[in-house]
Amino acid sequence: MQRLAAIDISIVLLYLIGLLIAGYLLGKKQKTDKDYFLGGRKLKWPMVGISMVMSDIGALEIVGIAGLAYTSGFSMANYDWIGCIPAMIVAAFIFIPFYWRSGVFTIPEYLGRRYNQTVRSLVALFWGLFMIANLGIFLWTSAKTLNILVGWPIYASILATAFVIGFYTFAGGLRAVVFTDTIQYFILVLGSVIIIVLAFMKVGGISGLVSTVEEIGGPGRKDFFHLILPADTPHPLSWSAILFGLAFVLSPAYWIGNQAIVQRNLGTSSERDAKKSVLFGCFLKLSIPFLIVIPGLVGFALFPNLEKGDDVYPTMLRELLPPGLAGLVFAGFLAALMSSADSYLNSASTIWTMDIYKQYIKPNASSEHLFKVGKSLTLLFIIMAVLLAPMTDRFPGVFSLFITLLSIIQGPIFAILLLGMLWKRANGQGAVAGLIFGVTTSSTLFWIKDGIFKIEDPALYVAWWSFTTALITTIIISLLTRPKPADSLKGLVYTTKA
Amino acid sequence: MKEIIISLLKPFADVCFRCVNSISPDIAVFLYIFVLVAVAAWVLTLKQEKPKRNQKPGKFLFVHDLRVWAILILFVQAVIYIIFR
Repeated sequence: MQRLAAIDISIVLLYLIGLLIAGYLLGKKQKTDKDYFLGGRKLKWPMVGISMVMSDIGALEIVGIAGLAYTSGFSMANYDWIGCIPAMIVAAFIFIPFYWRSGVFTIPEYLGRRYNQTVRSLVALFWGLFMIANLGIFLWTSAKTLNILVGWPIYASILATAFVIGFYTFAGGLRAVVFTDTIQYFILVLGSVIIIVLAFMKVGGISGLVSTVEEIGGPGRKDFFHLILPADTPHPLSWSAILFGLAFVLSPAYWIGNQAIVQRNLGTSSERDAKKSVLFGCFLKLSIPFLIVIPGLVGFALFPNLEKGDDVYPTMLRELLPPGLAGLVFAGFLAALMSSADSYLNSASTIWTMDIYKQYIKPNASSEHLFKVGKSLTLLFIIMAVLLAPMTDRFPGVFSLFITLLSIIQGPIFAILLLGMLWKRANGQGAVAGLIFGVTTSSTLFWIKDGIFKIEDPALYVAWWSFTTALITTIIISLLTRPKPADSLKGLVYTTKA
Repeated sequence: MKEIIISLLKPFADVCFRCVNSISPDIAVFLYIFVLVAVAAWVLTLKQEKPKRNQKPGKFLFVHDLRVWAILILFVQAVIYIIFR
């Protein structure tokens, strides 16, 4: 097996050392929780836009989406197009400015003000656990790739990656995360462009790709180059699953309700900059499928007999790139991995500090004290993620696992967030009931999925139904119970002014 | 327990599946484009997104209106769906 040459490993090591130094330098002047969690509210909008996109397209997406494109085809691009663009635009003009004006640190904090502290705690708990589990998935994905490419043992790779991410996030907080994400974006784009060009040269261009897939693809890949698949397709990406589960629920839930995404927008210096950052991220999103879905398609034409779709990106990296370039592209891959992991690490620490620690353990804690707690939690979570990482291997694909975890909680949280912002009559009792019933619905649907769904991986449909049930439950219970006083809703519902 | 829940939900699941399955991918493309056009139309109904004077002194150009960029992005997206459907 061909592995990275000495020059490649040197490039990767140089890159990792650069990140450590950047994290240290950026963190030196930080003193308060606002500096650490929101970058002192001085972040530049282009960097925030890039950072949003990079947090979304981690290595998990590169490996997972390229892997699913390998098996399902071009329809995976929906995740970055209809599954992002409309929701991001709605977020830019309504939700992000709304959060920005309210001056909150976290989304659970907003929900606590809007409904009650039980809702805040439940959502913080769901998100906090989800983020730590995801960190484990990110670390495992990188370790597997390092194992294939460099030959490092998996556990050594997990520890090495955890050390780098943990150090610069611990030292530099959100400012370091946004700064490193920006550098990582350019490395990722460069790496992807190189790999796509080399892969197309080998397969014989677009016509070579189409003819090879037609020749070897068989009936399972008859819609390989189509964005929109029929409802009865065996793949998880039928048009109906994409439209109802992704475009209407998971995507807005992700861009409006995911702390790891929204947190950096709250760090911009003005409301207009917060909007600009989301629109810029949206603009970048248009190009992302070309960078990560196309390698999966060409990968199928070049390596049709891989055991797992997730192996396609590391295999292409290993087999196509000459020494020197392999190191650069691999650094890009590591960049993508770290950009997601650092965001989740920083956001998990923000949520647990502001919504759990400050709320239940030390309500009168000073800004400086919370800053120290946030740093300690960052350290604790990276250790927990290291311990959880090996569990990822029990699941068939990393991206499917990520979407499955997401679909359990995102639908119900989005339902109460949406009602909370747009409907004055929604109250705390309704939100708690909606949240619990929605999560119960998604868990039950996963439990009985083989009996009622016609596809193996129904995560997108589950998201739709858990959202719908949470929405209906919240409406019914709110109407049956006492409304929140109108005075307490000022500035918290879209139609009211602060 | 599992079997009971499945037997209760199965008829409903089958009806839903038959409904979406009766819609062809060609009509689905139309639905996708409709979502994008609807968002663009909604953006147009919003107030003009001008910079404040202290943020951008000088003459106001239409490109300073953030809505223009949102509509441009949605337009590109719609074209992509028409081409690659």
